[in-house]
Amino acid sequence: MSDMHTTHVDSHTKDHHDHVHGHDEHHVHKDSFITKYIFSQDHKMISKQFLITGMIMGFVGMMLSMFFRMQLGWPNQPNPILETFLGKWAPGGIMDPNFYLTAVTIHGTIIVFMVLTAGLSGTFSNLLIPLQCGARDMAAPFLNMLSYWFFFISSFLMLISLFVETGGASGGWVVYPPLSALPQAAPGSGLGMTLWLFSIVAFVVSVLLGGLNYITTVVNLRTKGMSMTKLPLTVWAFLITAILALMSFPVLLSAGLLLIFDRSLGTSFYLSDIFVSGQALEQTGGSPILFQHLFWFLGHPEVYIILIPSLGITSEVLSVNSRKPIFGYRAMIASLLAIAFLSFIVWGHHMYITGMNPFLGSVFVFTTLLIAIPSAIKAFNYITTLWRGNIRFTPGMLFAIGVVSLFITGGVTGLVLADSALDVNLHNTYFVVAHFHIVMGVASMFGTFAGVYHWFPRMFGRMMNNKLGYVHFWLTLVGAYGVFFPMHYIGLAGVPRRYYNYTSFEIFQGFADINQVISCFAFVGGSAQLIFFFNFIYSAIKGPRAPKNPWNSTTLEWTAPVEHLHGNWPGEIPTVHRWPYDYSLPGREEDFVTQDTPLTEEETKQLEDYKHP
Amino acid sequence: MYMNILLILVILLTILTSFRLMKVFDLAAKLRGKEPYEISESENNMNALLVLLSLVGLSGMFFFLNHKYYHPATMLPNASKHGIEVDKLLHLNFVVISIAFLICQVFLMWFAYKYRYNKKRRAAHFAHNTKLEIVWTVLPAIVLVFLIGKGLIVWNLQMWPENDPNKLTIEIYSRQFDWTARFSGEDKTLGDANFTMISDDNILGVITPETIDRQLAKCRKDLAELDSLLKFSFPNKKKYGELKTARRRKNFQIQRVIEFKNQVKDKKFTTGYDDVVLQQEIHLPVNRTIELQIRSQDVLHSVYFPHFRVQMYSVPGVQTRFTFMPIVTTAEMRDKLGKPTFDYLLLCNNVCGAAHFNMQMKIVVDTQEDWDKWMKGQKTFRAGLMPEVTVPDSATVKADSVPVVTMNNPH
Ligand code: HEM
Ligand SMILES: [Cu+2]
Ligand SMILES: [Cu+2]
Repeated sequence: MSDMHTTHVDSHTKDHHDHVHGHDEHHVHKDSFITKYIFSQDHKMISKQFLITGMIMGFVGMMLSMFFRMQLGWPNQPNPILETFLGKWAPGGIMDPNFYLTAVTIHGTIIVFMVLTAGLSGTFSNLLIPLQCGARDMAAPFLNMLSYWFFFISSFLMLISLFVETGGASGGWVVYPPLSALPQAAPGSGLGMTLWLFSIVAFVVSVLLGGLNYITTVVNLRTKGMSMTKLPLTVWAFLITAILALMSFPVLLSAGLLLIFDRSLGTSFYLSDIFVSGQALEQTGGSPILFQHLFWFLGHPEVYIILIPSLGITSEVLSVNSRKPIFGYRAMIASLLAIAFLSFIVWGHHMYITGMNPFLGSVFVFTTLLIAIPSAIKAFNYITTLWRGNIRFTPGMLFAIGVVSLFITGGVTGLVLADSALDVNLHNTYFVVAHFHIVMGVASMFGTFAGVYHWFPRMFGRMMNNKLGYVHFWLTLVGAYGVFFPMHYIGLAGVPRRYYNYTSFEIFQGFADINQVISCFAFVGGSAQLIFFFNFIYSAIKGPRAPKNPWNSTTLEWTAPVEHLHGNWPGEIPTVHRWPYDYSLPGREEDFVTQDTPLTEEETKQLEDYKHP
Repeated sequence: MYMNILLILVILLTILTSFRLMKVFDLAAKLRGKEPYEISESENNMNALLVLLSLVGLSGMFFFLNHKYYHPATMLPNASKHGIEVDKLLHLNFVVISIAFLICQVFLMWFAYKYRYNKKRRAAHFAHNTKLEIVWTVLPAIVLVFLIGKGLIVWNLQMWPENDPNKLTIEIYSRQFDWTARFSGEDKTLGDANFTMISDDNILGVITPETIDRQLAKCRKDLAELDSLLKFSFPNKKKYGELKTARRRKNFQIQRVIEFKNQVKDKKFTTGYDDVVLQQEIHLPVNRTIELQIRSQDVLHSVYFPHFRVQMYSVPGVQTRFTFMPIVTTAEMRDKLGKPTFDYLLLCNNVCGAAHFNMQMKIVVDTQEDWDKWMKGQKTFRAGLMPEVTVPDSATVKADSVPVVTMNNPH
């Protein structure tokens, strides 16, 4: 056993970067309210801003889903709740079909972009990259602040788009033109869609500013001794996520810009041979399929941009609470890199039946199934991390185990969809909805919760209430599986997604009851989030004070004092001597050794032996 | 109104009380000397037990749903030739993923339960094991190669069927929010069509000499109307702009129609005469290769025949195709399912606007004889044109509208 851990205490003690920052003088500055809470350049404050904005957006996204679940469970039945909340969009308590589409569209957009991209990466990259790398702040704090404010603008635009006269965007979160390009084709494609597009433009700017910062910080601002192979997997995950974002979001921006041109300048990038509301449009020669290629070139990496930070958080939380090193640290990094690379060459699996050449389809089948291999490795490594651990079930830990469970459940159905021959009949059915909600939506949401419960003491200096955390977790788990597991079977029966109701089809009548059951599970899961919101707010204000290192964790963020300091450490930044997973080292009394603990003589000797046998 | 205020008050009170209560609990815990981050052994065991229970729950749900829904009666019964292979492949995949799913969940949750915290034990410092890692990289790789192989064989079968000289070509045409189908008739060729030729009585924009003349006349009349409207000054800028745009588009359309008119000499445009255009319901012959040629008028739709395992996007500006063969007639399927009202359907499976959810067409699969009979009873495109063919196209054209065309035409 002993030779096993020594391999990790290895390497790179030579690289003595001296990070002398001009930051220390910041301590003397008196921050005003505005510079401290609003236009803050401190990464910890920006992280909270991202989290809270993300939570507010998450609440809106969730409420939208509650509304359309009411519609799907009890179609055409007057519902006073809908009437109260939606007003003119639910005359007499019956939801307007256009609003139904707007609800699913904005729900998807908010959850995918505002909550699981900005809310997740923005929060934890900002909080953890400097703290876990041992940096006083982000490389460019001002850009970091701008990143938040662009996100804020983006969220704001998305919200007001719900209130315009003609309704919000209604073409699905993928906003395929021509529907999204032609206000004549759907009321939501008017002003609502314009706002959607500008919101996304602001969002891309935010992501790019943030991503630049994350990468630069990880690459340049690691403390003395912190080689790349001593970085916690969280930081690796955030780094890879940022690289993916930097490479893919500009493509979304260009897709959006071309769509804006088509909408307002009369260009025809995506439009050709269209006859709508009695008029033949002049635009010819464009192709709607071009948009799909551009969109999914972002879209597929985007789903991993959402998932990878969650996986990073899961790695960390699982390891800390099993009191065991993460299994296969290097394999975990390698598989992340493989997933990141492959995620750029699989986008066509969303387009098997768009008329794409079937041979090209075959190529995408191949690359898509390849991506399942590193995904499987990750799942196996998580499971082995639990094996022979000594597991402490904190709420964070439960959510992390939930991530693994959901990742498995949602991952295996990806294999079915990846098979183009099967996708022909499953595309755009509830099977796809089940697949991606489980593997991406819920899994990443769980990762976010794991992160919030785990690092709450680091963020607010107080503890969240465990009991409420447990209730939140179990209800959410039951809700999530209860909603999305049955959807697989509805999908296998050929039920299309984005349908306002199914009452006009005899062949789908058998699923009316199951749709009600799903809606009930959704309400359970939704209410559970209220418990979380309460716990969060209460604990942030009144929760019991947290000690410096409540989870007995090894990483650097727990060596900094609980009080918020601009610059993180009052004195010198700690030097790193070992990898982040020295849990339950044999022969030690404590079951964890922090990264800044120097090697013992024996360990140094073992290391030497290992290097020069 | 009062109800709402009352509701808000109740919510506020609940939150405040919860805050108070929480504070009390926290103080009580502190008095008992429990650290806020501490998890008592009983709490820990309780959660471990719940993890184990959720394994039972999850697999229970899996088996229950499989039992209830994963069989032909509730799943879609297959009615096409390639669908047989597709269903076999689906079943194979389903078995493989079910096994992987169950094994992984069992290990995950069992380990979580088994290795729950115990004061007396210490976790193993077990950080990696090359042999294990190689095994579980290679194993899924082998399974995946197998699945890819199988999958691609079926994919090729589906996408590149043998060429059948006896195939029936049908155009499926989508628009907000209905389907139109066109059979190729005796000459086995679909007549040309263009979006500028679309009118109320020619949904598909089929080009024949008669429709060209009619369309030209109609467009010129529309243009004249627009022009006369535009003579007035509009206080409403938006409305004015819309009319200008409409006029520009109408000119563009007229130009295109004139181009077709000029081509009549060479191309004749007579292949469309014997086409049969239908809405709401179509019949297909059983055991005959059917080639779908798919077009769209306005936005993306998706042609989805769930029972035939057929789906293909319908894309404005691009023609897409799908070839398949129905092998079970509607009557046979009704017998088989014991549902006398069963019908095959064509659905739209790509969101296309407000009534997307109700964009359907009934499909009836007949025996060849029945189908022949049915087909004989259908009106050809030309027959549909007849009553109006005699209307001379120049009669409706206003003289002053003609120069506008050339004026706006840079050529
Ligand atoms: C084992 C690996 C995976 C495979 C083989 C796979 C395969 C697929 C395929 C083929 C589709 C297209 C289905 C269709 O639209 O017809 C799809 C959809 C999707 N997948 Fe996966 N997937 C995998 C993992 C993931 C992961 C890890 C995520 C997210 C973190 C994800 C998120 C999504 C999303 C969001 C969609 C649907 C988007 C939409 O149509 O709105 N998938 N997946
Ligand atoms: Cu994808
Ligand atoms: Cu449609």
